[in-house]
Amino acid sequence: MSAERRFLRPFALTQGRAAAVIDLPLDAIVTSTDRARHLAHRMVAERARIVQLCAEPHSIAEIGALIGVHLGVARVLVADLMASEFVELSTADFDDDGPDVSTLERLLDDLQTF
Amino acid sequence: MISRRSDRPASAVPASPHDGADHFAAANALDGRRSTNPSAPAPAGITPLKVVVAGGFAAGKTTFVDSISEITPLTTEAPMTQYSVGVDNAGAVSTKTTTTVAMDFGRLTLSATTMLYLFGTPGQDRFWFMWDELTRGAVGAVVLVDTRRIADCFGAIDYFERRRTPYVIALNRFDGVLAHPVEEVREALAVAPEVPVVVLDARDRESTRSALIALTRHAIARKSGR
Repeated sequence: MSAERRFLRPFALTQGRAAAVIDLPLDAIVTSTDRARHLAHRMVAERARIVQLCAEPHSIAEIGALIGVHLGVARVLVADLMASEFVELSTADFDDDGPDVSTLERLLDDLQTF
Repeated sequence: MISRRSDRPASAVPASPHDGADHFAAANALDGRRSTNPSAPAPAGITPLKVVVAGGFAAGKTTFVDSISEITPLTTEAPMTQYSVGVDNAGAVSTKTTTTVAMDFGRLTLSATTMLYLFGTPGQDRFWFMWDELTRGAVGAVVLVDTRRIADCFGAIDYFERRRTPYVIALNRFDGVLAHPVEEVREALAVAPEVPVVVLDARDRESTRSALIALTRHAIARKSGR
């Protein structure tokens, strides 16, 4: 129990809401919706900053680094914004052992012409 | 005198108590609920790809990332206390500490639909658990080697071999020179003949790009051969 409590403390920013927490990869790309950007001025600071930052696509890792919160907190905030349909998420649909051959071949082409 | 990976006791890398486990999901599943399929592609349709950049302390990981990243490398942090409970069997780190695991990373937009992220591994061995998160779903890994301190990368090689993650060995030239010839290093590292060994200057973008191309080719060969 005490371990759980220790774990929960960093999530005070999320107003204690634990619902909608999903397994967000740290390279998942987050993009905010138009509606969210219109409503950003009414959101609490961290949520508003994520919405504004993600007018351009940013990964969970970038959000954590740029907003100045730990990864776990960034995940919860993003999950919360997803639940309100304020952000959209784009993730790689790979197995744990990485991209398929056609994705890798596209990557190779991109790297060679880059 | 060159260190040899085969000279070490097999236990040099602690058997991870959490192989295959999903720590971040476990840590995040506050309500005990598991993933609700986060992999449905969003309209944005951007595919994030990631490469892990590993190597010993001061082997040039951040320099490597910086040389090709379109953004100044960022540092993302996770508090150790979230993950150390029941994970850090080494006992070297008290769960009472507020140790933070920090990872440097960079980004490369390759096309309208592809973003490549380069994640440097946290330097210290006690952060092995963090590597699982970084390695899961990755294209593969670049293991940077300072040929003056070859033994520093043994742990990383052991890790990627155990996980069957495609990796390339990148010998970083410091001051333009290698302390040992490539073949001597390859032998000391005892890596399989198909593992590419490239020589690079981590400060140089072209050099870095070549290493990423070698890694991608190797990953394709590995996947095609299966």
